[in-house]
Amino acid sequence: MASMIHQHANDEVSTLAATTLNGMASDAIERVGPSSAVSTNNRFANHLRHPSTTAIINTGIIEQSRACNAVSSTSSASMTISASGNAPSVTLHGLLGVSHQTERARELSREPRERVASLRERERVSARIRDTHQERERVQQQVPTTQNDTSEQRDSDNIRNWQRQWKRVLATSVFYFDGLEDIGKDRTKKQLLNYGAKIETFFHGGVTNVVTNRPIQANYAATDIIYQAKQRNMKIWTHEKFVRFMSHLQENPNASVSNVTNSHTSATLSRGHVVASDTSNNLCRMLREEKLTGPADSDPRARRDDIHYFKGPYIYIRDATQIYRPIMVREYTRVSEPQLGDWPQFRVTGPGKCPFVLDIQYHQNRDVKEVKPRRAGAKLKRTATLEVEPNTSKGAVKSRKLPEDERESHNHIGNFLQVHEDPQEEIDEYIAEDMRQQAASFREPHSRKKSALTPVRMTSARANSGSKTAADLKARKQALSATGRSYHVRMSAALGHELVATGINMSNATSNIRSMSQSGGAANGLARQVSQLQSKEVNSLKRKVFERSRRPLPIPQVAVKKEAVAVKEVRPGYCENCKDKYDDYEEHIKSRKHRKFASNDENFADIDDLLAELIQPKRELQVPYVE
Amino acid sequence: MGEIDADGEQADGVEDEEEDYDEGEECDESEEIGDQNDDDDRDENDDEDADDEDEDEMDPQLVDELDSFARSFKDVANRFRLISKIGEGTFSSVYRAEDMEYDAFDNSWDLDRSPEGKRRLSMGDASSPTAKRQRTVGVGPRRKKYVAIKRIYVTSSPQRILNELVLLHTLSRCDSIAPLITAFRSQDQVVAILPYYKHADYRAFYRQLPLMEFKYYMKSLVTALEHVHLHGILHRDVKPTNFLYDPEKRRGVLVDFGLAERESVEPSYCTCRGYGENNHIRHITDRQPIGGYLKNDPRPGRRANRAGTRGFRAPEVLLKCLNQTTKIDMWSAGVILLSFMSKRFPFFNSADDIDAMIEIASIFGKPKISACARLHGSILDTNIPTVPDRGFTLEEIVDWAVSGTDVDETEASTRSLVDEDPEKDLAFDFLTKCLEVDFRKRISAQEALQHQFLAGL
Repeated sequence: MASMIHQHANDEVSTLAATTLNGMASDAIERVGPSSAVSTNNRFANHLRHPSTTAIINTGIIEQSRACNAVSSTSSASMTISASGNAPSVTLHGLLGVSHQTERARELSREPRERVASLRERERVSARIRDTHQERERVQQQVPTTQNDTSEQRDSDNIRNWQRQWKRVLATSVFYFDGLEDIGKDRTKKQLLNYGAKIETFFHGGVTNVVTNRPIQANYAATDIIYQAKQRNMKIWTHEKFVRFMSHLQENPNASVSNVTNSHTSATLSRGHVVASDTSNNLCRMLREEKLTGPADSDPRARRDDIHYFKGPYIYIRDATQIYRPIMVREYTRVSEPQLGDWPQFRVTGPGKCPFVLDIQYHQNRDVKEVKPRRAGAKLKRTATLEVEPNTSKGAVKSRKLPEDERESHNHIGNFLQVHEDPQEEIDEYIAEDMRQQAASFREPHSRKKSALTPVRMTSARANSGSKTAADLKARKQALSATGRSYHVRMSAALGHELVATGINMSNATSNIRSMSQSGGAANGLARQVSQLQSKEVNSLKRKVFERSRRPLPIPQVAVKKEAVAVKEVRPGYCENCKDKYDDYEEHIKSRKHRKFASNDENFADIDDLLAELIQPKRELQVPYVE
Repeated sequence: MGEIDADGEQADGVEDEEEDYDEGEECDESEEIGDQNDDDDRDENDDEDADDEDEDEMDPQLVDELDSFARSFKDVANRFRLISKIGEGTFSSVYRAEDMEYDAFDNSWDLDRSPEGKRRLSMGDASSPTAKRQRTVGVGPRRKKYVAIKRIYVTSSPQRILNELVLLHTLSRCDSIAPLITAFRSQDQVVAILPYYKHADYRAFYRQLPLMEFKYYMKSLVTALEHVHLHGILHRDVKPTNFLYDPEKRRGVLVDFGLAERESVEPSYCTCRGYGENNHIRHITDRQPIGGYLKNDPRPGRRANRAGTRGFRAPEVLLKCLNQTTKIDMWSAGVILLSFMSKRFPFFNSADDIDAMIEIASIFGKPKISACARLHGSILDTNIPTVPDRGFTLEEIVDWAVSGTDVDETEASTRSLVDEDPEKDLAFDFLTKCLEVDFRKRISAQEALQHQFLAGL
């Protein structure tokens, strides 16, 4: 992209430079047709001798030199402008010499690290070009014009002639668009078809013209379409140039000339302005694009400093049209087990409770046995979740603030996990408890079904296959429909209860874990670093233990809100009528500004019209319903 | 909203009062016409929870408020006696009031007006001649009639107020929609007078009502929506608090058109229009970063009307589709049914739109949500482990939700209400069609009324 911008910019600039010399000179570069090459060169030469032209060269010299130098020093320029068009640019180069700044800009563009600086530089260049224009305008006003109507007439004839010749050529041309497949709605394509040209979807030998969106380079790989096009003497256009060419082709020469009251030079001037603003627009657009997509000429897989790469689980919904910034982006802290994740997910919650909100109360109440006091362990390091609020201006990436309690609750989880170094202890503990529960629930007829249906319990009971409770469970499970059962397996998996799946061979796994946890140095808190199998299984168990944790994990949102409501005395808000934010509703509505609005009936004219319709009719019958 | 306790109390109180005047059994209910609820919970800035403001009738602050309201609005104060505040929302407060001049006006809006009125009157006539005389002149102590007064905050623009009033007025001809009785203005203060409806709090019955009964709820709701949609209007805020349902009468009314809007005739462009035809994005190579996002994205955000309540927003609303249709209300209706069938309210927490999306994706799975995102010109990319690759059916979700937790003994019986209902399959079919992430395939209100689940009623 960088060099492409460069190229395009230079191309534009060269046009611009030439335009400043003379409108016809611009045509000379722009409108080089296959048969008009000589005549345009002649015309160009004539115009160079024009006094006004000389003046312009002198005044705008630095800027133009940079522009022109760029053209001539880029070998590709000769290709885009075509052989005959090249001549004037070279002439210009010869006249004006090399600009130091251009050199620098080019250097910068070669250095990817400095790309931003280079972009800025280019922005600056285009701004200067605009300045130069104003300067030139000033000069031109001072220069007496010697043009007359006949020359204008001649020019417009020339232009019409040029257009006619090109349209004839186009009628037999076959175009191929390289890398421009997505510009399907491009008007120029339609226009092209109107002139009788053909547009090919695939490149082949019959193509006569190639329009590319890539920068034109000196060398291409033999497999490159541009290379092959060159080999076959096809005309190669940059897309920018092509678009410009097409617009010139449509232009009404009479209109552009006759609109000008003053002189030929001012006609030129207005044209120059158009080109200049185009230039800056294009530059802006390309700069914008480059900011978004990164330089097209670098490896797209290369890491970029301006991108935040996801490290944890994320959701990222971006606009396919690429016009808008992402619709949703949020990243969550990476966790060892999905159910420890911060994102909304199905949770086992109390009756009637939202299934997406961790229901601490429920788990507390369900907790039958005392959880042993835990040693304080290393805190789970928790980085703030990042989010992009699509609504915030500038798409600012801000740190998602967690209420104190929530942060604390996560630390609890962290502590809890870290503290239970000995997984086997946990497993035993858990299983023992579960057995007790199973036995207890078996005695209660009402809770039979429910415990069987509870994924967590079903899971753990399975782990005890062979035991008495497991036999009970088996019987209970038959009460479940087949779909229900398979559902629970799936659902459990979704909920992070992998044990249902993995727990089938739990008896084996247990010994496995035991040996591993022993050899893995579980006792010193490093248990989590041992094998995948262990951490997965053990953590599942830990999770279950966690679910039974007695530790209060307050739901922060509720607590915070209750407080906010209690405090709510003054009501802040936004007044749509005054277009003002206010801190206190009562105060605001008494303000002079608001009263002024309120007392003006005109503001409510429409409402009054409706209210007139809404007047509740009086009852006609003032007599009783009966008798 | 704080209607749980407050309303129950009020309703009881009112019934007591009325027994002094009426012996009729049904008339108790017919007199008291309803409740209005606005909700803090809705709208773009919905960070307030629905049930966090239990009004105490004796709250001195409230008394002040009622006083100042009455003082500032003589027209209203003369005719209506303010009783209590029954709702507070982003753009309005709603009060319950007694209509002191009920009999002086044409009350064609009153569903329970004439036949019962006659009967009641004749009964009253027989039992109390004084009552008869008083009613005849339409003044003095008599059977109380209640209305809901919606006081629209003066910070709302006249356009917004007008929009709501016009839509209410347009839709007044349906029994399932709260009609606008009249409205007044005093400077910037506009009040709308609506019937007061007796209703039960959704939370009070959703776990007790059998599916057979809840059908009436849905039927009534969908009938209201059909009427709204027929007029090309989107309600945008369908949720239990905005649908006042009386389980005994099996009748509900849709209220609060504060966020409602007309379906635009010339909707703004979204790729979902003409999706599958030539004009949708196909050839564009996505050059946006993958596996990360641009830190300082200079592009503008996609903007669309997202008004509504968290947890009830359709996927296309979350995806900021500019071509939102009346189908968004059917999604919300589906959420209500899901909440009923799963015996969980709210079903979706959806602290914000992103959470909402993840919650929906947790049910339907990545492929479906991806397709939905594509439909609206977006690309979904997520590696959240609990978002399944293969979605769950709603039957699976409901099964899990009603059985996946411990259920107390009273629950055990209610659970079976869904489990054993012979029309359970129909209900799930209906539910699935309401909660279709692709709005084009989602059932319309009109179709829903034809659906076997509701058609039989």
